Amino acid sequence: MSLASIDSKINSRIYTFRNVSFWGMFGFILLLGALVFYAYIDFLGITYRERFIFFIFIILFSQISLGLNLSFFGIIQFLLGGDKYKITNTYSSNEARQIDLKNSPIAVVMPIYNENVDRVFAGVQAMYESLQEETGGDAFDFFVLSDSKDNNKWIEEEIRWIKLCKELNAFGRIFYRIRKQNINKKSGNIADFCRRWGKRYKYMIVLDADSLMTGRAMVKLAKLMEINPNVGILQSAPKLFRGRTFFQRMMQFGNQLYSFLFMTGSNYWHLGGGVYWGHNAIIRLQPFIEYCGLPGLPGTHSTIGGKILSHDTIEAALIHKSGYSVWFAYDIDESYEECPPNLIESLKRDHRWCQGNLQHFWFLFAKGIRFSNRLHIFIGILSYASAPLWGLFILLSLINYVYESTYASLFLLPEEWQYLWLHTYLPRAYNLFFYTMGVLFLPKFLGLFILLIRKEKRRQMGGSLRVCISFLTELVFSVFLAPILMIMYSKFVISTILGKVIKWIPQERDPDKPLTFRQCIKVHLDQTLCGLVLAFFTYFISIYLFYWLLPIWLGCILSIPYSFITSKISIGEKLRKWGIFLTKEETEPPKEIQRLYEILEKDVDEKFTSLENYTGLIKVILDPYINSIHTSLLLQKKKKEFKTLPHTQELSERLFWNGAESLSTSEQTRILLDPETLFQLHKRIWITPKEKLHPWWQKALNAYNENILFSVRKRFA
Amino acid sequence: MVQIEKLTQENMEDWNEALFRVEDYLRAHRFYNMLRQNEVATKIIRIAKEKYKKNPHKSPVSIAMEELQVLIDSWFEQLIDQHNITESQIITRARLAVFLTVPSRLWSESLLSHKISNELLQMTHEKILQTGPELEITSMVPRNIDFGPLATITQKNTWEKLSLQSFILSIMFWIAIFVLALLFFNFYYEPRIY
Repeated sequence: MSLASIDSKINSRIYTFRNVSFWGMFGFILLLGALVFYAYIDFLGITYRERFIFFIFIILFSQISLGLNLSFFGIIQFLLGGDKYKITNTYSSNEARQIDLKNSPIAVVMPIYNENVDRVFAGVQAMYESLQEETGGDAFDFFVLSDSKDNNKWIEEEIRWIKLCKELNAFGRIFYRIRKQNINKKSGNIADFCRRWGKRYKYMIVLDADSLMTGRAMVKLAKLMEINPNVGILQSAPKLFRGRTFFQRMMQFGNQLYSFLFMTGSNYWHLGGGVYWGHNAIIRLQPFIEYCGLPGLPGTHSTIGGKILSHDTIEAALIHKSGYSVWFAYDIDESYEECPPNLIESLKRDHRWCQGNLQHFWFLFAKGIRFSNRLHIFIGILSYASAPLWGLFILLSLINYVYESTYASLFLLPEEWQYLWLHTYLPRAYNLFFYTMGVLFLPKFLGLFILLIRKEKRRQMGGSLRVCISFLTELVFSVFLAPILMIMYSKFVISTILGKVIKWIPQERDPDKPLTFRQCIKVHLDQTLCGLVLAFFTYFISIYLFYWLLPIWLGCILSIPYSFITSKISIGEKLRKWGIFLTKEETEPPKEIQRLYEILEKDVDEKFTSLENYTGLIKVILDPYINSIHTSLLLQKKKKEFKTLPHTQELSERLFWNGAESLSTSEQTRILLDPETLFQLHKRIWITPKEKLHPWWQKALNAYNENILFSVRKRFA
Repeated sequence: MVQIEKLTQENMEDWNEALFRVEDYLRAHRFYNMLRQNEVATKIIRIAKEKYKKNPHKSPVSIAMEELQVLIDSWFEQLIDQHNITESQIITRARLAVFLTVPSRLWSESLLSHKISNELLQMTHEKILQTGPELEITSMVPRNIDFGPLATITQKNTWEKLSLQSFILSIMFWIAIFVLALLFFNFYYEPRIY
């Protein structure tokens, strides 16, 4: 291919210059912070305790310095007209656009685990339809890779898949596979796909259950992979969308405002040593299969050792180790994901990520891992490990304050102390305060600045005034969120170290289930108490300290109402009406997002009230077509001479005579895995007169018939 | 409405239930043409009534539904021309074929019709459900990574086996000693103002 790939343009000189300038600037910001802090604590001489506090400060300050540095380099690149060495630049020529994907089959895989079935298949449909409009869209096949354990979800997934294939005439283009043994969770699910079908495809686009990408974006990613044969993974930058609650809408506004600068700055230093986030990315399958089989971790410790929980960062490190690059296509539009509906769901996700990131600790010292990947791993660990350090820093600083003020009151005359306080202590404290606030908040203001000077973007997000109001609201709420996260992350880190394993539970993505006040109290009570203790303690020590730490203790005290209020859809919708937190996807959504909404409005899942837990079982046994769909899928997997086991026959009898409530979930699963039993049960139930049916079956039959009757009436309405 | 012969008062309820059940089952097959539905239901009830005379101990619902299932199953069986699979597999396959190939608006017309279209027959012979393309098995083995010297200390066999009780007691003892030492140090070396 005559097209020049991005890796051929990057040489050692560029790499060195970029890294030295980036990390040099980072060091400079950090050094200034260290000097200002040193001057502050050196006020009455420096003790061992203060040296320890200083050490913690350096670690913590490095994190916010990195944030400022990323946005600083991001804005420089933006003002210079964009990064010269971004991967999407290789797509600019006509020749690049006309690449034929005919010989490059691509699998779009969506691993799911007890997800909202409507949303999963609506997303697949919107993406499939979008791809059909693109040249090269024929090269893409879809795979819904289910690990669902919930029987209702399992049956619903099968029905939705068949219906979708029928509607789109997409048999042989959209596939559905369910694993009954969820070995190695999500990474195992993907690996299973690779082992079965990986050889058939050149690339794989990995999606999450809540992802959405337009056909244009997917085709562009695939073509970029064709132009750049040395790229192993190409990560797009998914934007948050479809937010309805206050929390979701605030997060998606923040994501649109700030992420662009961070991602531009990030690409500046790592170039081809980028990150992989586990979804909305395209992967070159051959090297992925060859090099990215995940190793077990040393030790049998259930949280730090054993199986890798968070696979993406490690897969990026392994593919990079094997000589392929990992790029970040941060300016590809139209790649989307959803945000958890509320703070508690977001924290649950963070808990998993925390454990996963802390596990990566082993790879910091592993042989052959590239420098950029070690840095990503270190930054990932620090993003959680810094929380308990911050807590410790606050605690030690308070103790230090008590010691210093006691010392000063004992050894200095009140006039001397007053003089020192006004002319030495306070100026140093203000220097530290303003510098820290600057480093902390400047990236946010730079994000706002970039938005305000982009006329089109500004208009799409509601205009200057609304953007500024949204910005200030987000700023205030993010300040109060920080201490809540500090305490929660500290708990996660400590529980991980203590070996508390987290279960693989499905994510609750449905905003229609708002948090109850009781749930919020249960999760945030400890933070509220911490806030109250801190407020009282600081108030009695010093009124200055009380105000100084106000954002921390107030954030903690308000954690319960914060979580409760931000989970409300009504507030999110009201803010949308007022034009607050608007995003481009809300004001001018691409047709794929509109299509997704249309499909979701149309597809209302049929559930049987009061028998909701048995919807799948009822449908499979009573509905002749669903019975056939399900048993046909089972028969594909089973041997032809399949025979029902005596135990299953016994369960079937129990189900018939005593209803489904007499069976445990695993016993119901056993029935659902036996095609012959399901076929016979279908006949038997329909043939039996009402008075001989168990009341549970009478209820189920009524519910099913009402449902069918409803659909007939709807049909003729 | 269905014209049914005179029924005795005591089993009127049963025949009503039988009729409803037949209609429900036809609806479950997405048999939306109401006239055809009534026609089929009447026919089934009539046959069931005849059979009931010979076997009055059986419930009308069971007789009618058995009759309907025979009718439907025999219609489905015509779609599949395979002898090496079980009856349940033939019916399952045929039902699925109808579900997948016939547009839902035409179900009523196609289902139980006397003439089966060639297109429908052809479709049932094709492989209709594919949960994935043909398998091309490959291996994806975990990569061996050298985690360096730190990994060796986590190996179980490098650790001595400790007794939990003794371990906790020893730790408590040493915590007490450290606290006393710190208090002692604090008492003697902290500046005291009188």
